[in-house]
Amino acid sequence: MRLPRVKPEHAPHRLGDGSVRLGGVLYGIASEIADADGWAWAALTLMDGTRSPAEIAAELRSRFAGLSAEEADEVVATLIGSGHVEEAAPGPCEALSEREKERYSRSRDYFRWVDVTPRDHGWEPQVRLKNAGVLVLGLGGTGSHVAWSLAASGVGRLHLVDPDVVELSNLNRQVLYTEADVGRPKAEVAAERLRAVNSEIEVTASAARVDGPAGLARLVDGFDVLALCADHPREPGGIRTWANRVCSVAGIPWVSGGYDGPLVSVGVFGPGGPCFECVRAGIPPRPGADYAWPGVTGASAGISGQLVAHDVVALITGLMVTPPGYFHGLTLLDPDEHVYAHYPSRADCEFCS
Amino acid sequence: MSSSPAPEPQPQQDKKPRKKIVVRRLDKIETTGWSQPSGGSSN
Repeated sequence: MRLPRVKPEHAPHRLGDGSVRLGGVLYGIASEIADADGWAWAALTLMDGTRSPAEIAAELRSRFAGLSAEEADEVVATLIGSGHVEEAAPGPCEALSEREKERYSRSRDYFRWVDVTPRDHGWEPQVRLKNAGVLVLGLGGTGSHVAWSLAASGVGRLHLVDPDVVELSNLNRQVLYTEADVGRPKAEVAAERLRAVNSEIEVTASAARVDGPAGLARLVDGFDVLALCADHPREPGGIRTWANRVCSVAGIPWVSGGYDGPLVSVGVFGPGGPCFECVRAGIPPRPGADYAWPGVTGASAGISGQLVAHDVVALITGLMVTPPGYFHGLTLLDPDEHVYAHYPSRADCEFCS
Repeated sequence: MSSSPAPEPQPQQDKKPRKKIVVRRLDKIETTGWSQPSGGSSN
């Protein structure tokens, strides 16, 4: 790193006992340094993007008589490696145009915040998104939000699949359609809208109906992630089971989201975690818990879609990744209630055992 | 002929241990309850 600078979102704070807190209070980001000698605080103060690591180490030695050259170098190297420091003079990122950098500048700020891996220029997560392809299956309440969010986020290649046409009753939640679109194929309209949102990406669409695992396997081939936003046929043995089996064989992670009225949830599955069928079998059956009613608002659909989009972006960038084999979400009726299910692989799983 | 006893080997002087800083990522329990909503940005 040529000119280290503490990330603004990770600004250091000195605590009452002399230790230093970095990265605020967010789990996964925040850290502390016991700093009885004041070395870390001094080094962090010097990391304002105007000095090289060698200059910072030299300044530390001039301030602290007992600090050896090796110790000063190590203090600086440790802080640079901590993920709280960025390069103030980043090298070029030729994978993105200046227009793309302006478009995604706020995404870059976000990734800088949650990313604790030292980077050359900070655009690495965005470049991963640009180089990725996602299949969005289903363009209804959840899928329309997913597709919009991934297009806006700069996923380089999106393929949209839905066999239905736009209906007036879709418009309370399906964000890509207008009254003028009623009767038109959702896939066609969605592709038009997303190309207008982001002309930097490739958007293709199909009104195909997925009628079994073989058809799904053909569709998902060549994509990095499947965003499953269709709910028919239902489980057991439905479209999520198809996705589980097809994606497991292909080694492709997949994310599925939806809502049961105010209960909104998303599941993340893929290599390295228990399969969907294992997790589903682990959820204890509860009388009356099989809802399948159609009630939904723009908010509940939007939350489910944005949770899916978040997990897709996490899988692609490698940041903020939910462990595979996890359902999580919330109920809009109770802000205290966090919804999750995470069960280990089962020895008697019909598919993966 | 007299001989003087060989000098006892002196313990090697301890080298000053190198001090370093350790960046400790906070555990979940240390951050639980800290992430209070601030309203944040909305633009």
